[in-house]
Order: sequence, then C-alpha cells, then structure tokens
Amino acid sequence: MTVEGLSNDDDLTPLQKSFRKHHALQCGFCTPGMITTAHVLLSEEPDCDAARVREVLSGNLCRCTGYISIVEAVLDARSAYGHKEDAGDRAREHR
Amino acid sequence: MRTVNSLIGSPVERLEDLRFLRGRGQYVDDLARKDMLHAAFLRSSVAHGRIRSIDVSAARALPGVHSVITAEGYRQPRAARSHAAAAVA
Repeated sequence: MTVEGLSNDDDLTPLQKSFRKHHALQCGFCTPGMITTAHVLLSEEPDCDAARVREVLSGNLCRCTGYISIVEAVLDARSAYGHKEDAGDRAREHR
Repeated sequence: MRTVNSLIGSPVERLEDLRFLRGRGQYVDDLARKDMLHAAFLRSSVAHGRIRSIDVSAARALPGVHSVITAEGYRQPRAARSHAAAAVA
C-alpha cells in the first residue's frame, strides 16, 4: 500500500482532509508514511485512543509540525472509519 | 465597527498540502536533469584544524568523478583578483 494508492484525483480522503485541516504537515516528507500507517490503524482499530495512535506512529519521524497536530488529525478522522464517539473520548484524549 | 479581514485569525488551508497528501511532493533528491552531476561535500573531521595540504588524487581517480574542487585557485578575494587583472591590462 502506498499513499498514491490511497489517493484519487477527485478529492482528498477523509484522513487526508483531516491532516490538512489540523495542519498535520509542513514539508510533507513524512506525510506518506503517516497517512499509510494511520490508515491501517484506523481500518483495524477505529476506536483507538491518542495513546494508541502515538504508539503506532512512533516509528514515523516528523521534524516540522511536531506530533500533536498529527495525532489530532488521526483521532479526528476516526469517524470516517466507523468510530463510535462516546462521552469519554475527550477525557481520554487529553489525559 | 471596523471592517475585519476575514483571513486574520482564521485557519487557512494550504494549497501545497494537496500534492503532499497524495504523495506527489517533489524534493531535491527527486530532481533529474540531463547531464546532471551530483555533488558531495567533504568537511573537516577536525574542529579548528589547520589545513596544510589536501591530496585529491585518490578522489579524482574514482570512476565517474567529474571534478574535485578545493580552495586551491580560489585563494584571492574577488576585489584582489579584479585589481590584479587591471594591473596586467
């Protein structure tokens, strides 16, 4: 799987839109790895929390934005992968 | 009431994100031009060292090496060179 394979000419995917919305990229060099890794995580675990996102992305280095915006972008994209939002989400994400 | 620029204080989506998010970013290492050469910089392994001499013969003998450039031949500052040229003329 590549980021090209996840992309189409018509529109950004929900995950890509979330990265753009949350400013989760600057130079974009790490973005293909972040997108593909996050896509697999969200496909398998749409209810993952911030700690799980950080754990799975820990092998991907970003030297521009830092990781907070990337983690927020991934969490925000969960709904597109079937995540069921519950009241505990926000509390867990910010612990 | 003052007119407020709607961009100030608003999140603005970047145009360049579209290519980066689709894996279509182009970086220096992606560039390919006809007759393109690659440069490698060798820096001193010694901090505050004094260069007595540089032997480039082994580097120059490597296959595919087009040129080895050192400070040799670039010793005079630009002003001094043009002054010397004027003196010759």
